[in-house]
Amino acid sequence: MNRRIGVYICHCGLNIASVVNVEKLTEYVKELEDVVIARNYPYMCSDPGQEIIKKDIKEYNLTNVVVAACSPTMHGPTFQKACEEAGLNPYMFQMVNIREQVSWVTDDIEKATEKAKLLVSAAVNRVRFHQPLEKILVPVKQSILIVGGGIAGIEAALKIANSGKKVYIVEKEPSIGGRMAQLEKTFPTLDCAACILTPKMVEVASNPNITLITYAEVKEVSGYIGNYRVKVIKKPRYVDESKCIGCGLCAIRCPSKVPDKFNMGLNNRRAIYMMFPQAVPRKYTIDSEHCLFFTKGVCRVCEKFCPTKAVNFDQKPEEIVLEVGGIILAIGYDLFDPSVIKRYGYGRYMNVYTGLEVERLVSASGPTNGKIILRDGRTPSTIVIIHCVGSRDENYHTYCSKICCMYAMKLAHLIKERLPNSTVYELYIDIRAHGKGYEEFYRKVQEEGVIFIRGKAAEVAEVGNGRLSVIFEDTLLGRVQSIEADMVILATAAEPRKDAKELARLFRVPLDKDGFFLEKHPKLAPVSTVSKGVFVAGACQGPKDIPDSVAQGAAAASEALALLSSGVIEVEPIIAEVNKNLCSGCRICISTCPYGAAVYDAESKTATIQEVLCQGCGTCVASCPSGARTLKQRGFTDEQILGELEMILPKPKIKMKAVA
Amino acid sequence: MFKKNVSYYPGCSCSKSGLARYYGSSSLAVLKKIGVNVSEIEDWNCCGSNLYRTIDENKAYLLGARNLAKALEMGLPEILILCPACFLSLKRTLTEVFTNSTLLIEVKKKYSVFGNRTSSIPNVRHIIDFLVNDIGEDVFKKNVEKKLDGLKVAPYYGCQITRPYGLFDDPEFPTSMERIFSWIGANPIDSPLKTKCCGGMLTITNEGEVLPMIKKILESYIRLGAECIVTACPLCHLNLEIAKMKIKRTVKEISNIPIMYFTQLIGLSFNLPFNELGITKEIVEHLNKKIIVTASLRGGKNE
Repeated sequence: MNRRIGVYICHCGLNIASVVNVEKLTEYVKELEDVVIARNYPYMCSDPGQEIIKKDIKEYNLTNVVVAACSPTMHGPTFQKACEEAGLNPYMFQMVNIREQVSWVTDDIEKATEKAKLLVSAAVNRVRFHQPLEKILVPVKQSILIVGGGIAGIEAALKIANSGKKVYIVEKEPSIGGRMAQLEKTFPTLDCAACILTPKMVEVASNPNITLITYAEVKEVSGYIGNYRVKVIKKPRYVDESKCIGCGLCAIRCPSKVPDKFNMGLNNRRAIYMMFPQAVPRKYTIDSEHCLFFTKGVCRVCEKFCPTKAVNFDQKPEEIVLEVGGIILAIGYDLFDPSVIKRYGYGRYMNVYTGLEVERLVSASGPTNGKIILRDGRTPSTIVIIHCVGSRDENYHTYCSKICCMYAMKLAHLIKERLPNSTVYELYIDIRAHGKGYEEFYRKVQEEGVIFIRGKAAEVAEVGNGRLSVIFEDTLLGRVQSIEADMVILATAAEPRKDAKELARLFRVPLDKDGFFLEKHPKLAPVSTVSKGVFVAGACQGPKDIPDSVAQGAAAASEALALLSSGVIEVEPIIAEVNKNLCSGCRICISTCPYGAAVYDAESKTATIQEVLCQGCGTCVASCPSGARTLKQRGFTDEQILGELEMILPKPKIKMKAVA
Repeated sequence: MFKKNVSYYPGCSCSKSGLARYYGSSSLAVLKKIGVNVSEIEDWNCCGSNLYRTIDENKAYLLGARNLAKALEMGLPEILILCPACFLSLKRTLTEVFTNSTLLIEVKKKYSVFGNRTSSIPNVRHIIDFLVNDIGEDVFKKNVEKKLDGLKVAPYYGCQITRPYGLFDDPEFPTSMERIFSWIGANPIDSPLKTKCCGGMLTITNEGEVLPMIKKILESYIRLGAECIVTACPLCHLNLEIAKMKIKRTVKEISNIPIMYFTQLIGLSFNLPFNELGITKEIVEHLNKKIIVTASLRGGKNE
């Protein structure tokens, strides 16, 4: 085939042109073999820039196009589209990155230009071996998987289900509701959290389009956008969900007491339990780690007392396979463990609490029915709330946790409400009341008599009888001071879930430097990820309050719905291909394929690649004993890769035999 | 029996003529009893502590490096140090020598043993670290002859043992000494001021500033019910003793509380001779209600 190649060099304003000598580069490229036209232009990606390419393709009858500009993840698709519009197969195009990989990493004009020359000539030599490829169209499965049943997941589920599409919610805990279910009231409006959350939870349970899979975890994810295959393991509840009516007779009789995780360990629950009274589904669960039957082989009292015979000690983990078009991750957040900051004494002094513990303490459904009683039985009269514990701190998390100022002030308000004669201090660095009505709430709390002191607490020490002394520097007075208090509340930071790393690996979503899921673009694609068809919502993407989490849940739902309603999606044809005439049927490729795309065709006694499943990873290609002529990777053939290398590597002294 | 060979750097204060000589002698007695073979570094010199560094940093490091070189020449790269100031100073010297290439060249030129390929890198250890992490609970329990039944011991770490590096314990809230106390049967009390400043050298120049500081520490220990205060630093010990002497007329409880080195306390539980531990009649009298009486009931040797 006679190649006619066009090369286009972008200035990217001054991004490239200030370091790479584009004129020199253009002159150099013009001399390369098969290059018929080489141009440079200030913004290749702009409309006029693309027009130049389109016009040239027609005018010079180009067979291949090379664009040297930014990263192909940025504008690769833009130029592919331009080629396609001009009638050129988009896979006859190759992009060279001379911005991120050249101009942005050096100031040396000479060396940068030399490197750019090498990279462009490599690409020119590569496209000479390009073949036209056809995009594969695949239908999109009309359902969505949501991982995590907190407020963000619930919101997304309801939006999708109400538009008539199927939703699966996979929740790790026995009930949905997430962190919001643990809260007493929400700032700044002071609505009761349960009152606004539980109707939504019930709606989730009753919506025919939503399948709720609680007490379950995602174990395996395969497939690609539009066609994900997700393996979920449903842990045994040892209670038959279809029979349990949630009467609670079993829990009354259960002899084994366990610290209640939902109440932050402030009181005990039984080994057979419902997470909280409004749990959805309203089913009991046996905690096999603490159940006497599982630990010592005795008891089975719950089984005897259950009126519907729902207790079933023989339940086994159940594997569920879901086929979905898209996935929304809404796994929420964990709270920073303040016991690592030894000087605050959390875990050593019983009257030092975390914010969430106090949240349970003031909750009407909490361990004390909303009465503020300390661990030693006293009612506190002086309370100090320390802000920014674990956040805005170089030693722990550098980011601002966003919600702590507001929840600390909400707790101060609730304490003042319950104990009007108490004195509440807030030790803050800065008050960050950024949302609608938040500043007004700050003012309201101040007016209620809460004392705000600017300064971070240095130390909490016990002075005897459970009383605590908080030492801090009042940075407005410029003096070191101390307060003797009955109770210290640490406003702990929000941090990524412990299992976020594991899920990120499963769903192939990158994490940011703090361990939260990384969105595709912080401003323009806040709920998308680089993993196509996987969206994120809520605090797993960064600390977020309830309004923001709900907004993100809805945003992720609309992204997911857009994907489902498109019906079909294009799949990159960059996949493996078998030359049936050469394949010996050794089946090595089948054992190496991580996606199950390579199968053995008994009739022809050769391997076959299932186009839709192949992800183009190239593992099979590398494993094929008879080499690249038998099993080859479209778009990354040996000729193409070696062609590229040939131009980059120094010329060998001995003349090598040309490949292909 | 536990067997180990280490070199030992006493430094000025813990040497035989130093102010904290009984910290030195009691440590050696304890180590001997445990079965650690301790060899004092031959012809050791000043660690190059704080004051040197303010004048000529490199010379201070060279001074410290000479001690390390001596230990290497003896073939005992594991160096045991008692005084936290010496420990910090030699640790810093070690870190600096191996991260600053010009200094390393100079050190190698002066002390050829550093350049020797076969010699290992010196390992600077504080005695608390060594006792807690190398010796451990089992060996301790085997050697205890008199359990210090429930004696309420207040540990006082001071600033330099774990800070700034925090090499073997939490820099802000160390608990190593408490672990040792529980192994010998004593009852460590949780003291929030255990890492607060003892005043350091300021006692000499600005006593008025230091005394209230230490008074606060001593009073807090008394309030928490301490029966003796235990330190691991010659300077802390000295400052606490000076303050105790000066305040005891005004605060009576303070005069009754003995201040001792943690190795002296271990020595008591190991039933070592008082003269080696440097336990004076005064301390014995203060503690007699607790230790000596219970020990004599069990047939201890020293009464």
